[in-house]
Amino acid sequence: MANTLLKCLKRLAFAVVMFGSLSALHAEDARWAIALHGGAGSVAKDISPERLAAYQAGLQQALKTGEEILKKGGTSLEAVEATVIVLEDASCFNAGRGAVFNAAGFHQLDASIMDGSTLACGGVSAIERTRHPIQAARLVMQKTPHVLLTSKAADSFAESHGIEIVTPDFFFDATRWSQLLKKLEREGVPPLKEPAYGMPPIAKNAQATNDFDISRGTVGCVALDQHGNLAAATSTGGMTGKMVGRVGDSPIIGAGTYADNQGCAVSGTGSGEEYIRNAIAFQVNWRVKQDQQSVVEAVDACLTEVLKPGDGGIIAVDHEGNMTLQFSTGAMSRAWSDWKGNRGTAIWEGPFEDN
Amino acid sequence: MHGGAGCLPDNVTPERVLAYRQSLERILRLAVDLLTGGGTALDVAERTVMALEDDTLFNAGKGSVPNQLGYHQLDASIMDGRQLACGAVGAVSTLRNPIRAARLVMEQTRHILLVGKDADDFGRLHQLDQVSQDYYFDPVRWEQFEASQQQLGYPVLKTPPYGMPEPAEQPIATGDTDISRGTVGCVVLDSSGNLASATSTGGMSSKTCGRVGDTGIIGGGTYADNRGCAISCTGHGEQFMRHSIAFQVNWRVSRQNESLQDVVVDCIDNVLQPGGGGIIAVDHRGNLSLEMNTKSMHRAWADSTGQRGVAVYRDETR
Repeated sequence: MANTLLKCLKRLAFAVVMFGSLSALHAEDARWAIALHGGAGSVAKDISPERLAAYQAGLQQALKTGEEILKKGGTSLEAVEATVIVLEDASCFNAGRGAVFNAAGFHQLDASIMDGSTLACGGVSAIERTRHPIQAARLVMQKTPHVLLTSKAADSFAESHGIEIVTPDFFFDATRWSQLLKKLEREGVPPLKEPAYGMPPIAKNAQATNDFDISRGTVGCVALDQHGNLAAATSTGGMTGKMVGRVGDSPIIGAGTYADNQGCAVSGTGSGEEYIRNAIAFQVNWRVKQDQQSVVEAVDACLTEVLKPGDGGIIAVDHEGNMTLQFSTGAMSRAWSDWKGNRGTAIWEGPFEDN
Repeated sequence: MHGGAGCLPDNVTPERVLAYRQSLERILRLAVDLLTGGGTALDVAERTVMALEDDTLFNAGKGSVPNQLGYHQLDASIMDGRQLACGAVGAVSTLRNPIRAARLVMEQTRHILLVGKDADDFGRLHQLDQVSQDYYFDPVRWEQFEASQQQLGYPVLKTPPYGMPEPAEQPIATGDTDISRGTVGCVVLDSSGNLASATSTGGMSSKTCGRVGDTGIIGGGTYADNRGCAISCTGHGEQFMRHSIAFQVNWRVSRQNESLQDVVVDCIDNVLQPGGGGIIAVDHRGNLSLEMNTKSMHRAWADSTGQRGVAVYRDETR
């Protein structure tokens, strides 16, 4: 009898524990957040409506992609990768298709990704043939004992793992080409007649727009998933007219990208060299994790005390879902969404009205 | 200065260990002469690392380990603690002294990191000494490479892809089977109070082609800041990158007023995994720290108070 009673009590206790943890799970279930950027720079407020629409569409599509994954309970790692893939494919952003040209008239792309639950991370730099550099970065993280692979060998690595390889002209964008020509002219360097891979057929009908100075632009995404895990991803074409072989902060863990469940997930955009010199992404996480600063305070301190005005922007999200998207440039194309219904896209200071 | 952290086996010949000590002693003397002769921290760090690169015993420059396909790809970085100016190269394959290219990146470009053949071309453009791949070859490293290929299940190559270089002399068995992840590095405080750091490496034996480790990354394997300290790391590079070790040491010393020794020991004991590697550092007061969680780290040190020494194994006291 006593035994049966004990069994009953145990069952009851078990049920209470189960119920308790389930409801705790439900409360946490709801909690997710995503922030993304499409580069910091200066954007004239009178850009053509078509161009503006392209940015908004790109931001919206990317945001929706990441949101869907998080809402369904997908991982933050999946979400940041999928979001960055959309941004890489949108030619108005300086990453993947639409990447800027280096000084020799071709594209060298950098990307990195980090999983905050394990501190696993991967990056690729100066690659030329991989359609989605962020996929290659994730493969480095998951399929090698390394953190960073570079140059042609990194393209070959990506190819050997079956991800999509393209010819260099895939990345061509007429606006980027005109930005390079202007840059060379400003510096008094002899102009290039055509890209290193020749003028692609699509250039014939393409019109260069003259609105977005994101020659140092980058795309990136940070996310918190319902499991409480953080992740960050960053991808870029670098700076217009950069030296061949130059690597910026985007593929460098601790500079342009960092994620740590005990702190936050960070992605930077801007003067890459300053982000490397000051290990900005690592520093933001350190301030949050060790110095108990909020993500807002940590990012603000980096932009105003460490970096110089005009250096760029930083987005971050912590393990409670607090987000921040700040910049010291005239503009940063960006978008955000969370479980509470905070949602928006923006380029200049305030969000667009139609959010 | 360090010549790499690792795990020298017990049956390594006394001659091999003596050779390490003699090289460290010779290069230490060179560094001290430069520094007491009024050389700047930056110049001394660079010249010391050049000497370590030129010495076949160490895994940097001549004597670099082969990658998975048997080729040599080298990384190096340098930082000037005055203005946080810095430069680096990754996966270069034709430069005799990668550290010189890193310094040129720092001084002649707006950038910090150049990689691959483009970085080699940059070095050539600035008239740095060019070498062919067989220049880097060392028979001891090659033996270690064959063992690491076997361990990892990669094809074991009979000869380097560029052909087996003619041995200058009959190779002698050294018993040095420590599959190297070694690196060389140097940190300096000069009499003007300036700090500098330089690091150079051939990377890990059997690394994937195109892999860049912490040595090519400012904040990973190298950092220098006059307000804090100068750091150079050696070991399992990916761990140093994941935790931005060089940046982290300086941050904690300069911003959190932790002592240099405490921070270095904490990183070695609690941040890195056991066997992860070693760190050398000097702060702006001239405090030195040389720590490792491996069995050995080739190292040497000297300062204006007369402290001076050369060591190989961890348990050798300073």
